[in-house]
Amino acid sequence: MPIINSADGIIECFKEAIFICTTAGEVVQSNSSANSLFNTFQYDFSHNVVNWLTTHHQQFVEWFHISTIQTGIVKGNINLPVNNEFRRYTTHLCGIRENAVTKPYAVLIRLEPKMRNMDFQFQDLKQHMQQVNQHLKVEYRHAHQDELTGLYNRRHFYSVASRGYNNLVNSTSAGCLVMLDIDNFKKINDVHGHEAGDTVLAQVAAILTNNSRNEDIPTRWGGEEFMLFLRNINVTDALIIIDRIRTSIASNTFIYGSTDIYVTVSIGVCSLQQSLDETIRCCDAALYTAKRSGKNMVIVHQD
Amino acid sequence: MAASKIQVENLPVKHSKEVFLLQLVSQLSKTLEDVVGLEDAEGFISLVGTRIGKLLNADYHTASCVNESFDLETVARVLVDLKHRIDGNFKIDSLSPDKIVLLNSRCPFGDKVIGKPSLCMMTSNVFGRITADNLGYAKVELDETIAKSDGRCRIVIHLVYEQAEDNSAREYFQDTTSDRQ
Repeated sequence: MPIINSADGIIECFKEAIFICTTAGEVVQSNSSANSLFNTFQYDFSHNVVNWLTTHHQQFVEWFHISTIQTGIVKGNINLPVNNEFRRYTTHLCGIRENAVTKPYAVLIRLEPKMRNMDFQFQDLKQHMQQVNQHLKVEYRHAHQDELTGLYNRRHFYSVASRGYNNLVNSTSAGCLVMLDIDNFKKINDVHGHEAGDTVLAQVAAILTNNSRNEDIPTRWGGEEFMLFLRNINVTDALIIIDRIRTSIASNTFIYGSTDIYVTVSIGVCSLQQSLDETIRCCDAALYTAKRSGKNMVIVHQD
Repeated sequence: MAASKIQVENLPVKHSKEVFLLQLVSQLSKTLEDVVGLEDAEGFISLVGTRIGKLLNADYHTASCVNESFDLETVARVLVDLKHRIDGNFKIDSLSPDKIVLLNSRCPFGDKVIGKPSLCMMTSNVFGRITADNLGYAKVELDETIAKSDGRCRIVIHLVYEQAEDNSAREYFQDTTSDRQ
């Protein structure tokens, strides 16, 4: 095997494990790194190295075979047991020919360790980024959600409602804004205390959420005021949802400790105007009319 | 003026199962080239090409009820035909006992192949494996390729050792352990 003999000094220059074996799987040359690796693996040189590597990765025998029927490098990844754990190696296989007109009669195999330390560092980095993302999510929720009721806050309302607002206004079933205010809320606080008031607010919010669709934006506007943005719906259909909300609240028994509390809401409704601010103003005016007209009712703003 | 909803189902977007699979292969190949480099990418792709070459060779033998190796002309026609079936446009430029020269004006991967030469390893391996398993030896030179922006592919398959001039070209030897026949 003249070419193999001349490879002796060359393969020793490489830091990674390199060895040459015959097509029958007998190791005939190996550098120091390969010998050291074989010791770690407790590989017995009397064994067929191809069979031994194939026990660790069943495709190895195919890679080896391909490298004996064509020139060029064949590559694959393989896991090998080192010090009671599996380590990943990239294997490079290249057929060795005796002369230009013969098939390979031996195969040079190089085992290049994957950068385990870098892998671990990357895992740490990935975990850290996941924590950062989770933290950002919590921060976002605090910035956009009302803590007491779990509804979106006014900031979120503006950021979401203004997105695509103009397109929505110009569509055939644009939608409408609904502003709700709990009637005589101050009296509830005065008579039953602020905690009772908070309970009522949370339960009104729950009714609002349960009666709205996925695309709607139920919002705590501030104090005892709520806003509901109903999208892609005409006023006639919206009024069915709105009145259902009003009657649900009016017929609900709000329980605080051993006390039953009954509340009603006044509601102002306005179809989408040319700007979001204008729609909010009109909605507010309709709500004011509902309050002045006796409360517990729905008033639709007339263009 | 009322704006109508976008009818996404009717948009003239060129997307289909075939387009999706082409994009998938093309992007996987590009990613492989970017991550491990062209030479290493070719090392991985050659495994796939070899397997596909063996499967196709077996398919043509089974379909034609021929157990023994194909002759030179049949091999050349098989190579052209298999590319035609996947929308390539190969033709035999010349045929002689020492080499097969094929020309191609349309890559099965379409324009997506441009800048992704590792995909040519599929052709090299499939052509090389089928030729070598039938005729004993093949050295596949990718003389011109659409992937390298040559505008066409010119593939020279040398059948005799001494005739092969391009030392960088891959050589394929007959797999005598093949279970095809």
